[in-house]
Amino acid sequence: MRMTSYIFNFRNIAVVSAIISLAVISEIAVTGIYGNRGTDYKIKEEIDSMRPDIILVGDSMLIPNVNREIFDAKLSELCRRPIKSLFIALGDSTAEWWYLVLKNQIGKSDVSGIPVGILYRADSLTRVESRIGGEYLLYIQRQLTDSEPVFYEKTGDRLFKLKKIFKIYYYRWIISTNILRGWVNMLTSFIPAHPDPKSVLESRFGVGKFREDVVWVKEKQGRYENFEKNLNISFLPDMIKAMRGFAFFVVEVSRNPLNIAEERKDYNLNLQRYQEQLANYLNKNNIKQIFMGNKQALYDSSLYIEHSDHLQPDGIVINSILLAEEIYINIFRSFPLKREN
Amino acid sequence: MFFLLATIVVYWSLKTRIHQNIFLLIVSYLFYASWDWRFLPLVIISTWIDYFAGRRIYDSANPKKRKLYLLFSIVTNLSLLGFFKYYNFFIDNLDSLLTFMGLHPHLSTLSIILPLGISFYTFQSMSYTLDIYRRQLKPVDSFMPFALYVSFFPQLIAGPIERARNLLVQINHERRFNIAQSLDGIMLILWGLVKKIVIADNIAYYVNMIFDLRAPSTLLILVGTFGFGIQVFSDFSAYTDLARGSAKLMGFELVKNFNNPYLASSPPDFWRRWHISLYTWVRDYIFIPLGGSRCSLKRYVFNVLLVWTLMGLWHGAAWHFVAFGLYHALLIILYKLIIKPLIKPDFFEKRILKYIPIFITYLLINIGFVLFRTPSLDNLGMYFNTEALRQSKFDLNVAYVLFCIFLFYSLPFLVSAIFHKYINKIKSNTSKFINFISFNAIATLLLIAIFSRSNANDFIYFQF
Repeated sequence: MRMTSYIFNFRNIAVVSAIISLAVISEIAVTGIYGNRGTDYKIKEEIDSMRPDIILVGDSMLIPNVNREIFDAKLSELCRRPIKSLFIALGDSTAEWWYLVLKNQIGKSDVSGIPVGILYRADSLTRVESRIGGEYLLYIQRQLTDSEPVFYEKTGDRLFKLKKIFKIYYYRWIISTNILRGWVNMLTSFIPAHPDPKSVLESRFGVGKFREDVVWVKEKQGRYENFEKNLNISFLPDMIKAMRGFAFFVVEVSRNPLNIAEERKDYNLNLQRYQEQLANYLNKNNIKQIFMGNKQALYDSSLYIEHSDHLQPDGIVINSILLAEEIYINIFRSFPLKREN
Repeated sequence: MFFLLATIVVYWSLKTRIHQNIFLLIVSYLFYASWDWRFLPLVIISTWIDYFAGRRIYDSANPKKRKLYLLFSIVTNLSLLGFFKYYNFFIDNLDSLLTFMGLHPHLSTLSIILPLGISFYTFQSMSYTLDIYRRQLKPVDSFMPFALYVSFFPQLIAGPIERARNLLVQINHERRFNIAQSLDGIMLILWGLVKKIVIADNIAYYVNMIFDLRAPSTLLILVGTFGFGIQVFSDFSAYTDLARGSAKLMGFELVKNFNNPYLASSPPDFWRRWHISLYTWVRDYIFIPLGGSRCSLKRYVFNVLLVWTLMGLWHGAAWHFVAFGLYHALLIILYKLIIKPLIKPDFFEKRILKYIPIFITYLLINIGFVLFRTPSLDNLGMYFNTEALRQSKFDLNVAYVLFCIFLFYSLPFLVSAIFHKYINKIKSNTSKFINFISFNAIATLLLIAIFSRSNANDFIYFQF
């Protein structure tokens, strides 16, 4: 009796009501602040209105590592007719985002038959890490439709739908970042320099600023050990499926030679084996694979930003021209172009 | 959390103390085995040795025999600890020394995994035989309660290091479910979760970035060390809170391991407030038997240096931990021999002046944490050289931003301090206390939901 009165007293009922109210308020507040971030078809609309001759998808290895104007000009020159390309890229994006873009944007657009390529690095085509939380959440959610069984199954985030009930949790990265930023901005306004916290931190803790051993340990962690296992839980088979009706191909980009140096021999042996298995798989599925990593012209570390795979302006020019040439040889010359009218 | 909840439900549904103890022992062994089952026999061996030695010491009237059994316990426990924790450190340094002397022995190290919590449970187990030897404790009649005392799961991995006089006595007595004690336990668990998930893990992210830099400036290292001071306190005291809170839910009272350490007014005072169970262990079983402070000056200095070198080594088999211990030894010696005699006892008792020694102690303790956090002593040269010092002026803005971030994540401490003022008043009324805890639970869940990091770290003291 005493315990029951503890549980069902007015105040505890108020606490439960507070939790329910929190879910409702967070829904209203977050939607009010950030708008309804449900599926938008802006990329699809762009594809439909632009009607590109080729679409490339990727991360920072596409933008900014490839200059679209130079790429288009070179490809047009080689094809002897104007070629319009569309680059769809998101820095640090991974296969989860690429899959959703291919399936929900390109796959559902009015164009078909055109070449669609993904630019990837090392094992990123089959990488199993899930970049679906934090800052990636917004970008992922923009691409989600109401029915995404494959996405939920492969990301393994079964709580993803549940989290949406408490929007405050769903958008927690944005909320926590904004609260922290607000606090830091308030305190930095007291000092004469008024530094911008985000840019200050990004410049001091950016790419290439960390000790080699630390970066290396983080990167190494047995990523290339089991291709078959990675393949089955990756989005690669689903991306291929989503791109039926298009001339789907993949491009392995060039990397800073310093990042694949001699002291990483064991690591490279694993990677080599992994790449061979990937090539066999793609070949079996009639997916064209282009290698930019073996381009002698890009095997010069001074073309890259220190300790990074991001290219310097000179490197971008070379990379854009070489990519256009490779795509011309492997895609445009090999496949008869199907143009929609 | 599910494990704890299930354990508590089954635990209180058992009728007798014996059944409760057997259940807790099984759960504790399962808990330890779930981390790494291969080391469970080690816990059992250590337990059995001290149980056996304790009985023999107590039963024997011959002082020589008593000493022999005590030595058996100490040597076996320290051998286990020495092999698993210090073997490679010893071999590495011996190899370097012999190489320096012109020999080339090429001694090889072993790939040894450090058993979780070994530094905690061996010390806890040894204190039992030491207390029996000193005739301060009677041995237990059966193995089971002692085995539970050594392996009691809430504090098995990272303390507090319990004495038999406290925990073993409770194991041998009836426990009754007490709502006030349980509510206290829930409060501790909630606060422990906030400290670990909201404060420590978030600060760790930035501290790790600073210490992972290829060329950090001295200023950034100092700010990072300030952050690490908050992180290590939040992290370790969070574990203690979780351990104490879980124990309370089962009717046990574990010792307090922290008592506002950053409000210490001197280096010795800091150690009376920080990791209290380790400090009192070392004080009672090493420092005082060596003569403590009631001896010649030379002997006192030797005692302090030895004890704090061992304290440093207890934290890890690396020279930077030894340096951490020695730094604290120097602070204590300087304070006792120079500062304390210079200051009148009531000088800092005036209102504002009382914060001066607290602030100075806080600074000195925090500077010392650089020795704790650095990956090795070699890195110190990188942190404190002319170039790193020169670079500091370019890092003023980033240092300030990081300082603000560390302050932000420390805000829950401020809120807790405000609540702490009224906690006794709230506790006196059970209904009010339940509502207060409900509010705390929501606040904790909300804080964790918003501020938890997806890549959470292990507790720092798990590695010891």
